[in-house]
Amino acid sequence: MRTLERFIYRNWLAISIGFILTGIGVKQAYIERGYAAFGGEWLILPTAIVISWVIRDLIRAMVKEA
Amino acid sequence: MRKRYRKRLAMRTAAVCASVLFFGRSLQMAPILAQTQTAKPNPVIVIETIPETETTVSEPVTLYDWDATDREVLMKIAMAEAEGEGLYGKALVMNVVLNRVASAEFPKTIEDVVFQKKQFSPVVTGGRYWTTEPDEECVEALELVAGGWDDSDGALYFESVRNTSTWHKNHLEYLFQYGDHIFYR
Repeated sequence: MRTLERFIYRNWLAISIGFILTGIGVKQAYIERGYAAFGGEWLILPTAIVISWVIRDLIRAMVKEA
Repeated sequence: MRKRYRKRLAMRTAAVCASVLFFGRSLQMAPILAQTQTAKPNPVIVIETIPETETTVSEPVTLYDWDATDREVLMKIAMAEAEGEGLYGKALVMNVVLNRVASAEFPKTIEDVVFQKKQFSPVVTGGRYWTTEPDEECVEALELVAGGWDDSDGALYFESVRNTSTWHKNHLEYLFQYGDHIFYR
């Protein structure tokens, strides 16, 4: 529970944006395909979290160097 | 310090919950969960062959009653709505459009019926109506319908068997199921 709490506290923006974009992506993919399927749009949420980690690490590295 | 952390955590959790709700709503519109949850397929009454002798011919119309745009719209909507439903599935979609044209509750032209707001989902921007091209079956279905074939029982609505919404079931008269579509009046 504590881990989840900390995960949400740190990554809330990426999670929120990820969920919203995945929702839009799933809807658009359904309209485009005409049938329900699991495609690349489901990778938006994990990708958003990974991108946020990368950005955070980059900033941290840049601050450390400076 | 602890209080501030708690307050921030509550706000951030609320933001995440709101986005999860939005996500859930999107899934409802694109019934992906409905499909994956029903691994056991719904009982489908498949009309395998429809003998010509049993077809009900009502108000015979000819292909020439429609202009090129009408024919194109009918074929495209049939393709977008019933690509995997076979010849009769496509013809039934065309029947529903024509039944609506004949009904007082709906617009009077094929184009207006198909593009009526919130009726045929594939016509939305970027939808399958715009991205698919009618195939040979659509042409055959159009000829069939133009020749007077109508097994729709006057159906004015249809929905996918995967649709999780209960509106059709609660407000309309169930007629029959053909392939993945349930027809109502």
